[in-house]
Amino acid sequence: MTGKTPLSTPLLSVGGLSLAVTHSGNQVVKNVSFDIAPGEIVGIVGESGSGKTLATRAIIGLIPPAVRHVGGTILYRGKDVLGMKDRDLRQLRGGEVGVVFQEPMTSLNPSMTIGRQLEEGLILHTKMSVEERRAAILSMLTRVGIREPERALTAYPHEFSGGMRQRIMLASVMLLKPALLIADEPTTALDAVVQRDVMELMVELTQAEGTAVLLISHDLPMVARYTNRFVVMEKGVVVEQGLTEEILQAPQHPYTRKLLSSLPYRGTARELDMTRTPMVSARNIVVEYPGRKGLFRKHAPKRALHGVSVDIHVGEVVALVGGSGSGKTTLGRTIAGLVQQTEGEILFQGRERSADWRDYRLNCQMVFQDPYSSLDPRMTIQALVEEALRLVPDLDTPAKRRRALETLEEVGLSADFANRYPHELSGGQRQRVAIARAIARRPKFLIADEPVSALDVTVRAQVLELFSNLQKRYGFSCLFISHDLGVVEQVADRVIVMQDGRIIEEGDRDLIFDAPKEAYTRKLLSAIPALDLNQTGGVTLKWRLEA
Amino acid sequence: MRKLTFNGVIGGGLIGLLVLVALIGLVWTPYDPMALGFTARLAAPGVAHWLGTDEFGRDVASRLMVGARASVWIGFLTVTFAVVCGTFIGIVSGYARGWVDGVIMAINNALLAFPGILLALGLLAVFGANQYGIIFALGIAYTPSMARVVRGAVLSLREREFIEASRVMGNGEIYTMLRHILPNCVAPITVLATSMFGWAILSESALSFLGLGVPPPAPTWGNMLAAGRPFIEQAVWLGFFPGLCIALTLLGINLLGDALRDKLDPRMRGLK
Amino acid sequence: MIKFILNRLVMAIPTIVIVSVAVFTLIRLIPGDPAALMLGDMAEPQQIAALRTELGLDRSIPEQFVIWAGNILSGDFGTSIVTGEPVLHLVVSRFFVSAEIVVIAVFLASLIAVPAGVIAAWRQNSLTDLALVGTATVLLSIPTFWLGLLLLLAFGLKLGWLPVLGYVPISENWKAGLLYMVLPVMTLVIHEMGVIIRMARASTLEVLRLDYITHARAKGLSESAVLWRHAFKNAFGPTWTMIGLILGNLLGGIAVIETVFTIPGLGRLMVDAIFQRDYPVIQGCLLLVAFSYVVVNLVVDLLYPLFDPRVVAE
Repeated sequence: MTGKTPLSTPLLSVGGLSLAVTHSGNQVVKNVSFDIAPGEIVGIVGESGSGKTLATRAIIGLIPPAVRHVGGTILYRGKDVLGMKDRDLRQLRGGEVGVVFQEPMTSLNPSMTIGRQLEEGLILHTKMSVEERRAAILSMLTRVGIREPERALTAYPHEFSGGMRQRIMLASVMLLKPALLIADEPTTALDAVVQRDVMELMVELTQAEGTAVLLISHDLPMVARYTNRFVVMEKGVVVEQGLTEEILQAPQHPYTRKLLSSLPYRGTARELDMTRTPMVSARNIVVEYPGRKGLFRKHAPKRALHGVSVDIHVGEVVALVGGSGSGKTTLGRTIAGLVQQTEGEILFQGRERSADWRDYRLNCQMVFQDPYSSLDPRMTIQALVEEALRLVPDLDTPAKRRRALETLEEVGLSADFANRYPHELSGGQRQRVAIARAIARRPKFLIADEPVSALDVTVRAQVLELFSNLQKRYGFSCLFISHDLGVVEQVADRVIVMQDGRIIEEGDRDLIFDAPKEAYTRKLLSAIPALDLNQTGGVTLKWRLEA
Repeated sequence: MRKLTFNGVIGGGLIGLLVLVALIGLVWTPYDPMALGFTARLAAPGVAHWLGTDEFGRDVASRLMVGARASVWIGFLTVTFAVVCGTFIGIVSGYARGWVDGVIMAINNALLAFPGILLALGLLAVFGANQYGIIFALGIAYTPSMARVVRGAVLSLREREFIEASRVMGNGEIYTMLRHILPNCVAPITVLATSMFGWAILSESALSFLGLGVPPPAPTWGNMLAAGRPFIEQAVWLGFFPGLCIALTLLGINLLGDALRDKLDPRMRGLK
Repeated sequence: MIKFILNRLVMAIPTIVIVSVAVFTLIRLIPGDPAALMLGDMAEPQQIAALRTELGLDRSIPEQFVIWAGNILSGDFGTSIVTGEPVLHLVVSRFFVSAEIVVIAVFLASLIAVPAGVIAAWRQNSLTDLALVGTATVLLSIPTFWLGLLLLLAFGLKLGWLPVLGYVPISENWKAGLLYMVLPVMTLVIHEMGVIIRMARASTLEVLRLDYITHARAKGLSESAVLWRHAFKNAFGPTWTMIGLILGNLLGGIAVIETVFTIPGLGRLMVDAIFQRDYPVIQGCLLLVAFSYVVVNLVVDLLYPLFDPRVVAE
C-alpha cells in the first residue's frame, strides 16, 4: 500500500465519460476521467448524487435502462468496454472485473445455496473439473474465514450474518482471480468492528492475487486509509484527483476542503456541574421481550437489557455507543417510554417519572434516525412542528403558530418551508424539521437515536453544528445514541459503551477515547481512523489504536 | 409516465362514460325500457333501435342505460359498505393487537376461505335475491379483504417512526389513530376499493345471470345477458351488448386501478 | 422442516373450525323455521315437530352445533330434501366434475401465462411488454360467462367443431369427455391467463430490481441464465400463492361456467339448491368448497419452501 505511481499502461482508463438520464437529458456523469494501473488501489469519494456508483457500473457495461451513454470511452486493457459485444462483455464481467456491492443482505440469491452461487462463476469462466471447483471453493471459503466451509456449500444465504455474507461475496468474486475488483461501499452496511476486518481481508486477498481495486465510498477516512490514489466526485464531475497523501495534506478544490472539514473533530471538553440531582436516572433497567409463542413450546424470553443504570446530568450530552444488538437503541426507547421496562425505575429530576407522566412527556422529546420515516408524509412542515405544541399548556393557538415558525427559523428553515410536505425536502432538511419538532416544546431532556447516520457527510456536519448550538442555547440534557464514534467524539461530554445489553465501560469522553480500559472499547476505537486537522486545510490520518 | 397517463385517461374515460350514461338513464332513455313492443320483436340493431330489441320488443339500448344505473348503484353501495366495515375492523384489529386482533383475524381468515362469490351465494340464501340482498351479501363478502388490507397497513404504519414520535409527544391513542394512521391508510383503501367496484359489478351480473340477482323485468346487465342466452344463435345482440358493457366497465376499472396504484405506490412503498 | 409442516397443519385447524361455525350460523340465520321450510307449505304441525326433534332444533344453539359438528365429522351431511340422496355423496361426486375442469384450466393457464409474465417483466416498457400487459388486462376484464357464450356460439354453433352443451365423464368415454371439456376449459384459461400474466410480471419486476440480479449480471452470466436461474425461482413464490388462490376461488365461482355449458358440477348443484331451498345441500356445498380452499392453500404453503427456503427458518 505504499504510494505506487500509475504505470504507463493502465489496466483501466476512463476518458471523458458522460452519462445522461434518457428521458430528461439530464447529465448525471459529466466528462469523468481516471486511470487504474494493475494492482493499484484507487478510491472514488463522493456524496449521494455524485454519480460515483453510476460511473463504475458503466465500467462493466451495466448502465440502468433509464440512463444513456452520451460521450467518452472506457478502455479496459486498451479495448473499449462500451463498444463491446455482449459476449465479450460477459467474458469481462466476473472473469476480468469482479464487483462487490454494498448490501450483503440482498446481493446473494436467497433461494440458491452458497456452493452453487460460488460455482456458477467458475463454470462460466474456467475449465475446472467438478472436483477442482469444489476444492477451489472450499479453500477460498477457508481463506475468507468461513468456519465450516463444507457445511456452507449447502447452506442458504439467510443462515449467515451480514459480515459473513460480505466475506462470502468477496470469496465468490476473488475465486475468479479478476484483474480488477470494483468494491461499491463494501462495508457501509456492516458494524464498525466488522468493517475493518472485512476491509483488511479484501486488501490482503487482492494484494496476494495482484488484483487492482476501485473502492467507491462516501467514507473519506476509509478511502484515504486504504488507497494509493483517489478521485473526488461532486454532482457528476471529478473535482480533484491525485495521490492520497497529497490530497489529504493539501486539498486543492473547495469541495474537497469542505469534505475534509466536515469530518467530525473532537470538541472542547466542558466543565459541567455533576453534583446536582441528575436530570434523568435509569436504575437497573431490565428489558425482556416475551418469547415468541411457538406451537409446541414457549421460547424463552429474550433479554435485551441486563440491569443497566445511566445518569444524565443537567446540560450534559451522554453518548451511548455500541454495535448492533448492543441494546443501546432499546435503552433509549425505554427511557423515551416507547418500551416498557421489565424491571428497574426511571427517575426524572429525582422523582419516579410515572408520578407525573404528563410532565415527563412534556419535557422528554426524541429525534429519530430516519428522517424519511419520522415525519408523517401527509402533514405540512408547519403542522408537524405545531403538533408538538398541541399538549403544551399556557400557549394559545396564535402563540403556538408563532412558536412553530420561530423554531423552524432557528433550525435554518425559512417561512417558505412552512407549507411544504416532507417529500419535498432533502434528508438534511427533514432532519432539521425533526429537530425543530423535538425542541419546539423547549424540553429539558432530548433523546437522539442515530440522528445523523442517514445523512451525507457535509449535511451531517451542518446538522451536528446546529444540534450543538441549540444544546448550548437551551441547555437541554441529551442522550445521544450512535454507532459512529467520530460523531460521538465531537458532541459528547461523557461516553457509555454497551455490548450485549450491558454497560462495558463509561467515562468522560477524553478518557474513553484516549485511554480505554476494556478490550471491546479498544476494538471499537481501533476500527476507525483518527484525523487531525492541519493548517493547510488538510488532515493527517492514523489509526486510533492498532488492532 | 406516459403509460400512466394512458391508463388513467382510458380507464377514467370509460368509468366517466359509464357514470354519465347511468345519470342520463335517470332522466332520459330512447324508449321506455319496460314498454313491450309488439311490432318489433327480436329486431336487429338498426336506425330505429340502435342495439336492437329483445323477445318482448323492448329496446335493448334503453334497457342497457337503466342497467348501467343498477350496476353503478350496486357497485357504489357495496364498496361503501365494505370500506366502512372493513376499515373499522382493520383499524381496531391492527391497533388493538393481542387477543382482540387474534380473534378478529381468525374469523377474518376463515371468511376469506370462502371464495367471495360463494359466500355471497350463501348469504343470498339468507337475504333473498333482490337488489339490497345482493348489496349486503357482496358487502359482507368483501369486508374481510378490506379488513385485512387495512390491518396490514396499520401494522406497518405502527412500526414507523412518526407514529412513535406521536407517542413521544404524548398524543393519545385515538388521536394518533385518527390524525396519523387513518390518513395514511387512504392510499391502499382507494386502490382496493377501485378493484372492489369492479368485482361488485361483475358479481352482480354473475348472480343475475344465475337468476339469483335482481329479478326481471327490472333490467340489469346480468339478467339481460341471461335472458339473451336462449336466443344466442338467432339474436346474438341480446347477449352480446350487455356482456360488452360489463367488459368495458371492468376494463375501465382495471386500467384506472393500475393508474391509481402507480400514482399512489411511491408513498405505499415508503410505508414498508 | 418438520416443525414448519406441523405448524402450518395446526394453523389450519382454527380456520376449519370457524368455517364450520360460519356455515352453521348462516343456515340458522335463514328466516323461518328450518323444519317448516324443509317440509314445505303442506306439512302438518306434528310432522314439523317431529322433524324439529330429529334435527335437534328443540335444543340450545351450542348443543345443536355440537350435534351438527359430530354428524359432519362422522361423514353425515344429512340428506337432500329434494331428492333424498345423502348430501355427502351428492356433493363429492359433483365436486370432482368441477375440480377436473378447474384444475386443468389453471394448470394450462399457468403454463402459458407465467413465462409470458416473466418475459414481459424482463422486457419492461418494450412493445412486447405493452402488448402482453394490454392483452392481459383485456382478458382479465372479460366476464367468463359472456366469453363462454361467445366461444360456444363461434366453435359450437357456427363452426360446429365442438359439442355445445352437456357433459360426459372422462371415466365413461375419455374421447367425448375431453371434447366436452374443451370449451369450458378454454374459457377459464383465457380469463385466468390475464390474472396470472399480470401477477407473474409484477413479482418478477420486484425481483429484477434486487442487488443479486445485478450481481448475477456482474458475474458475467447470460441474460437467460439471470432470468431463469436467478430471477424466476425467487419471483415465482408470490405467483404460486396467487395460483392457489385462483384455484380456490374458481371452485367457488364456477357456477356461471357450469350454467353456460350446462355441466352438472358443484356450482350448479348449489345454485339449484338455493332455488329449491335445499338447505342440507347448500350447507354441504359451502363446507366442501371452503374446506378444499383451506386444503389447496395448505398445499401451496407447504410447497412454498421449494421456491424460497427462507420461509422455513422464520
